Amino acid sequence: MRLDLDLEKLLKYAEKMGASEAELSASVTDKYVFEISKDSLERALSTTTIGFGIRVAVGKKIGAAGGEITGEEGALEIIRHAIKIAKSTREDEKWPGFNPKIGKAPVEVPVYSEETASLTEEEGVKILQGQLKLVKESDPSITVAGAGFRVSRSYSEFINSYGGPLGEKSTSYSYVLELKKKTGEGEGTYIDWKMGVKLDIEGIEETTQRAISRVSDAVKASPIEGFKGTLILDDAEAASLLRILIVPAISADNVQQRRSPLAGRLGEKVLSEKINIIDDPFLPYETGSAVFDDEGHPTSKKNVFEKGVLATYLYDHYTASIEGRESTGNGFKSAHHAPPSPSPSNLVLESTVHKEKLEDAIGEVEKGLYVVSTIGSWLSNPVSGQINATVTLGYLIVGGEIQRPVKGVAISGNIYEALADSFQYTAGPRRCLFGVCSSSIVVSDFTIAGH
Amino acid sequence: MSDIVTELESYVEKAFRKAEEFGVDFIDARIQDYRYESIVYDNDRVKSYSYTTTTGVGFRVVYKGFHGYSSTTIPTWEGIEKALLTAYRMAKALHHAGGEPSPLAEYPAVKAYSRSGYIKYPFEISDDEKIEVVKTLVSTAKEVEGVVSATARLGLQHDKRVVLNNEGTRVETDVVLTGFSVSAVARSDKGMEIVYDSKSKVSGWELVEYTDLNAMAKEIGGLAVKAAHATVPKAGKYRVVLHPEVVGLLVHEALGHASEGDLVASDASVIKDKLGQKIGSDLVSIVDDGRHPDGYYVPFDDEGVEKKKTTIVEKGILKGYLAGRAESNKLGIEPTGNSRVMSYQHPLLVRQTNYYILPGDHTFDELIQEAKNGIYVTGKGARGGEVDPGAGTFTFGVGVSWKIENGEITTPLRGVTLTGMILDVLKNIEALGKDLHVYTSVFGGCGKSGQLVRVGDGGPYVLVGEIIVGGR
Repeated sequence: MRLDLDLEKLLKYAEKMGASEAELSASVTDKYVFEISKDSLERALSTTTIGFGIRVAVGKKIGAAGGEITGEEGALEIIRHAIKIAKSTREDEKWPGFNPKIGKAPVEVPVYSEETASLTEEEGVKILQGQLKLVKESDPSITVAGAGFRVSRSYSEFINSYGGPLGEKSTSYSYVLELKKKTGEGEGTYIDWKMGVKLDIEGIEETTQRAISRVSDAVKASPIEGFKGTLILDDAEAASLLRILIVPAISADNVQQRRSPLAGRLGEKVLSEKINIIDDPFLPYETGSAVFDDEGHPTSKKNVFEKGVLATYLYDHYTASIEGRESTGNGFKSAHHAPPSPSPSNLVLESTVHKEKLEDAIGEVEKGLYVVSTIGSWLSNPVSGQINATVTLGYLIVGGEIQRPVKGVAISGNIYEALADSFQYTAGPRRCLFGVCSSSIVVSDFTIAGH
Repeated sequence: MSDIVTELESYVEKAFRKAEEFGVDFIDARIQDYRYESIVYDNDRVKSYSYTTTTGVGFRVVYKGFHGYSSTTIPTWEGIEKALLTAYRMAKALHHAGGEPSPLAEYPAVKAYSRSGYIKYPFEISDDEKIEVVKTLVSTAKEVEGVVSATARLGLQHDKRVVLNNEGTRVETDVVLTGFSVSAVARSDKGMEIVYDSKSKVSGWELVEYTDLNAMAKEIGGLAVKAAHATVPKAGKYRVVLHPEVVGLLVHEALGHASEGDLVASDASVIKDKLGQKIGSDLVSIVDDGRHPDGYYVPFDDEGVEKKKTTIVEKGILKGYLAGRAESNKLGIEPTGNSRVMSYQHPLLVRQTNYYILPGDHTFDELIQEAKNGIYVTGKGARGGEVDPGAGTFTFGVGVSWKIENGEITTPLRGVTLTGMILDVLKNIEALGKDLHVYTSVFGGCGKSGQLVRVGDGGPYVLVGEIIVGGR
């Protein structure tokens, strides 16, 4: 796939129009999606989009614009709009200029898979149909309420007044599945998903099998009385809480603007000494992997927490310059025109105490809850560290054994207590979702607000 | 309309005729010209000032009951033809793969043009005046003792859409939305807390001019300080009085999603097969209304179906669902004008418009007195909610709340979340306030299957006899 835009020419145009410096990015993305609704393939979509964005500085005044465009004329219009904003906005006295250190990290990191890129629409629809068949053959009483399979191929390019262009092609796929089962005992639903750079058919089938088993448990799930005990958060739920609560707290921007509970705590032991949290942009075939960030700065692997001690925050060029240091290569953007915000590549939680098998962890719990599905965890509060989530499927553990499935109870506590003195260990395999990776985590003395 | 929209539209009729030659059942097109401006002021600087634009056309081809989508931004016949052929190919691929077709219910052709009102077009306000708004919000909030950080945002949106189909429909809508927000972080020996408030309206710059920005920022700064000193309630069951903002969240999340016809038809709703049954207290009546003046303006949906006020619950009885043309055919009900897309690129989904509980007869003081002991739950700082419409469970994070002791509001509480089962809460509603409040937002909306659309929600103050509060 080709990007029919000459970023060097567009950069020169921005400078000619009055920009003292500029930063441009563009991408072309081909994607297709197939969707199932109630056991039937119902919708399909295929599109190609070209995105373009620019940030310009006129002295210390910054403007940005972006959007989906058809070609060069659209890009020129966006540039003119960004310059108009920059000319009329107010000066940012701390403006350090755009990142001057442009380049790729000297590491080979696969973020493109030919297998994914060459998967045709016909093959894509067969994969989704195969999962539907798997569900129906396993248990005809289960309905596939919804399912989707998406494949995308993308080429992105970056340039600023100090270097580039840098280009990178990437692929991704995602699979989501929502199952529903109704029996005389009641109803249950369960949602699961799988995503990555390199197509993993086996992983997709495992996801389907897991969903089949869990939706049958969800039928039998019911609320329980509240208690204080051990909480086991499964890999996906643990990754989700880290993304909501730890990711904003380690952003240098939130630290500098005094919105992070970790401000002023560098070098302090914040978490259990069993915990390391690493920002790793070099994991092969993970969606958060990259050799340069969205400011064109080379990425790097670093310990954010080392044996529980807060070792660094994540910096983009702006926040780094405020502290007179170099960016950590974490200037990632939510859209082409958006300002970068210090964000992790792949954030990985590891524990020095780890049990290979999750069953062994469950076997050690006197009374607790093993949580595999929640809603509302994104309502947890990153400023205070307060965890909130409602369990849509969990398992009550008594005397080291799973007693019964549970739903409709709330878990609440504070992440900095849960990952400090209350933290026990990690267990089972590691799973990466939306750029955060974790095994299941085991926490003692946690409050379950019950029926 | 902009030149590019006119250009795109000039090819649509030709595309429809070509599609008919292929033997499609139906084809429609959504043309969009969208612009959005955002200014973020963070403590002492303009953190970002950005502008985004999206223009394009999306086609849906229905072939033997199967729906294929594609889109283009290229205003030439080649661009349009490629998108059309792709949508046709995708629909055919589904047909060949097998499955149940999803034909559309009949709906008459509509010709309409509908524009939301404004006095001052916000995109023509000077940059300096716009920046002054966010700067004022931040500096006033920061003047409150104990506030350590403040951020403000301004958002302006102009969304023009044209829906056309090969049955003769042409519906053009044009909506201008203006809004701003302020958030303040305060610190105490008990920790930090953030409180957020926003105000948005389908209107022009007059919204800003009619608002006392200083009072709004001062209130949020003060609330943040109170929240930072507040305690977290003990988790458990409480009697609660809900602020209309929280009621809006509750009905949108707890019942709104479950009443979306695509979820009902795909067996993913807890209120499937419950039409005509009692699902709530006699006091509860709920509607979805595309034209409430304080909500988002949806006079027609993205299929060109007129959005009327749809009654979902009347005196506790479930009366209807929300449906587009495909779902209405499956469910045997009339289309309600709720088939919406985030942008021209996206497939249609059943979405709410402005979902709210109709008011009752109590004053606010009477509700607090009747609660006796419990919690008054407010929305300032609320972070939204989430629901499992199939299981019937919901959870949402609310703002700074207050203890109710012996019929009076006493001390502030923080970290409050509400959780429970949809139908239990509707049954536990004991009394409703007199006044109706509906809210929308230029900064967010409702997310579903990766698509964000603007919505509104609200209601009166509501007394709920029992709800699970997550806390300590």
